[in-house]
Amino acid sequence: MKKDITNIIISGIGGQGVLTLAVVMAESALRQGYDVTTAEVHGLAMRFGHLDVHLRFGKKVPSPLVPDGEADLVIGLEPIEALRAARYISKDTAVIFDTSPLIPNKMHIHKEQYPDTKKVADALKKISKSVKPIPASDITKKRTGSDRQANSYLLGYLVKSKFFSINQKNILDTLALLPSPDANKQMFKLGLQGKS
Amino acid sequence: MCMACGRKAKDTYFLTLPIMLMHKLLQKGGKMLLLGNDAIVRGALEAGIGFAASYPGTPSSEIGDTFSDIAKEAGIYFEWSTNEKMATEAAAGAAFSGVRSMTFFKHFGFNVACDSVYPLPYIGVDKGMVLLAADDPGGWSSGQNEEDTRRMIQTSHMPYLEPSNPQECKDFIKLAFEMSSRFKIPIFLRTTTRVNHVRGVVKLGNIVKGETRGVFKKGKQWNTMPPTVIKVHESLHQKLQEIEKFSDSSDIHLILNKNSKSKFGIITSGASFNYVTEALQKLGMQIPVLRVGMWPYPRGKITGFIKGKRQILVVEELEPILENEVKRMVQEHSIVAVIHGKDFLPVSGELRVENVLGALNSILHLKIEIKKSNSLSTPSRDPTLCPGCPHRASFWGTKTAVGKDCVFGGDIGCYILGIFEPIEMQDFIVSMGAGTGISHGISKVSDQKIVVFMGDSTFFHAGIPEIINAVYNKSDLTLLVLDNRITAMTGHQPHPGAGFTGMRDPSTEISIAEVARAIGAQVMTVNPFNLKQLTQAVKDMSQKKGVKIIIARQDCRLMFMRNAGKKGIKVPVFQINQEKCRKCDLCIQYSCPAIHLELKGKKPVRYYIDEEFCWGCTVCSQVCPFGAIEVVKPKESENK
Repeated sequence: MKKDITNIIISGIGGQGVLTLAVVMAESALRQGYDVTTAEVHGLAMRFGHLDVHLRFGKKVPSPLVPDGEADLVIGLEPIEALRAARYISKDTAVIFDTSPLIPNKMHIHKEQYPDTKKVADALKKISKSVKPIPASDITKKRTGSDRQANSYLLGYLVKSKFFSINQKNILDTLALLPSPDANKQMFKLGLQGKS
Repeated sequence: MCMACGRKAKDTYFLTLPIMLMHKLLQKGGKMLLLGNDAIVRGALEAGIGFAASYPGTPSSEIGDTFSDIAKEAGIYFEWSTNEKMATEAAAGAAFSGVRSMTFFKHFGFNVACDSVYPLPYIGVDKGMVLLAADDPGGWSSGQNEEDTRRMIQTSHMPYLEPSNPQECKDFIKLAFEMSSRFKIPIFLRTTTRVNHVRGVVKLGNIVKGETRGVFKKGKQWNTMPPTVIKVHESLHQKLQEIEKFSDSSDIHLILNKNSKSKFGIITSGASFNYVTEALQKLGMQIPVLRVGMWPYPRGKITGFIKGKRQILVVEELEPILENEVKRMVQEHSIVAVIHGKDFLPVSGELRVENVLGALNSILHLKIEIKKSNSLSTPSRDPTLCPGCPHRASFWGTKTAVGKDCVFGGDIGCYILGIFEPIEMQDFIVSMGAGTGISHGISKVSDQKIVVFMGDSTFFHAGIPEIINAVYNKSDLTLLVLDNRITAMTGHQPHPGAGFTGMRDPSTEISIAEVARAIGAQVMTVNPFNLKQLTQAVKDMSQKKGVKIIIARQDCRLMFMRNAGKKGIKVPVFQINQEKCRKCDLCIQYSCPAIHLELKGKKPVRYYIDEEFCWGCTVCSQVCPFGAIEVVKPKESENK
């Protein structure tokens, strides 16, 4: 990316590994020699609520919050959570989101229809030129029986598609610090190949 | 062995943070990516701390989690105290005995601690004591008010330092300890969410092994009874003047674009400094900026900065505290300059770079284009209790027993989430323990039926005097103590009923039931996973007169599942039998995040459980009147 600072928003739900993904990306960027900041939300968001993490890296990051409309990349770990990040999205923002929904109970209570992948993608395409739904959870579940390493698949995909321009080695070295390093590395490599 | 996570003291991995770098927090030199809260711990270690105590409160909670994680390895003492006042007293006792100590709390915690905080500067300390208050502009983790503790710290006559980023968190706490020993007064660090919960690159210094043993020496300095207190009060003001001079000479305050000829300047502090920096980068303008790092504010630096300028913008979050002091200084020094601040910036919520750009647009008549933020219609998502949460069962059983028109006293803890649809059983939430106190007041003036919810950690923190008051003054209410065996909402910190300490050592579990009985309440203990038992208990107890306490005791399911995973314990997984399901919707009303519904238009066609999220509590199978929710993966039985 041409700008001095790369701005990333990771938007998801407490329990999906939003913070872990952010810290893995941040640590990888640090290993590449960048100045890095994250701005996180802890606490309430643990309970299946929405949370987003701001991740910025570059030569020198002036402040930890990504200004509205200035994200280079928005990662939605769930379809409607990608919609919720709209304030950070402009036409130049790359938006990728995991297609696997976590339907809020409130929608069930009110018998509201959860929007399908196409509907979410179409809404996002109204503001961004680059919207990519990725079935990372589904692919990971098929491979490993659970979707726990889905974010590593997404991360691999981001590197492959040059949305996250950090060397593979720096990411693999960081993934090695996680509790299940091998499973995460495996899904990361699958993401790199874009394989399902 | 930690009884919460089953982790051995030397395990590499950290209890609550997703990435486990804590073992490296004790490393020599180098640089690390650290959360502001972790940088605070590192700074305290570099300052030779020997003793820390706290009660969890976000955004300060992880400071204690990290202390708990490294205390043994670092050779220092850490405790989770029963409340913030207790923690302050414990830290003061260590400081009175010559051990460098620290206590930390969120803004609400400061309110609890105040009674013991305010006399401390009158008494003074010798080897250094630091207190930390973490504010939460924007209310990310705080629902009851949006407080600015700076004014309260000023009232206490203690200086405060305001870091802007994780590196400064580490550096400022070291300076705070130095100042504390030099001026014989406790020093505050005042942080905000966007400092505590920001991660950044931190250059490490050397860890100093602090003293952990000391001696309390008797003497007159510990006693401030009148008339001494009046003299000490006066001398405190003199001390603050002395510290103001120190502040003026300190390099903790930063000046940017010093040589600019601009007649306009910005004065700022804390997290706001970051947004100012970014705004000026965007504009490409060389506007001079003074970032103040401590109160007492540096009078010489501030007045020197303003002289020759026509307009000043003070950028700070929440109350106009720096702004008012700048205005006072300008008047006292007869400087002619217009001081802006809250006339162009909000007093509520957190600041962003857009706010700073907007203020600059107005004051300097610029035409900077501020991007209009996009929005897309998005279904709302309230935070919710975890799958299998025992609180959800307690709410359900209580509503079944007493109906929804009963007055439901609310309190602070995970069960605060019972405020949201469809539970809606937290009618008011004021402060720790207040659910009982306020319900008592209601019971004295109204004949309404009252059920109060209180957590186990809240019981120990502030609940006991509330219950004593209710019993002694003949209140009429039913209290459910939602005992999930841990302080869950802030990240599973132990309390006096949990059986282990902040050092991760075993300790005697204090029995909530025995305490409540000793007070004179009618007490009953039930398992909320036995819905019938809980419902019957609420029904029976709520019909009796007086103060009735039902202890709904069942492990926090999130904690249970983490431990179960480590120990290889399997839980049963449930699914909805489509042949037995009559689509009555009760399971959806139960609102477990694992239970879902397929619609055709508005019409429900299939109810089902996402088995990945089913944590095997069994309660939904008791909620279903048709026996349609069945175990599909019978596995080794879980503990009950």
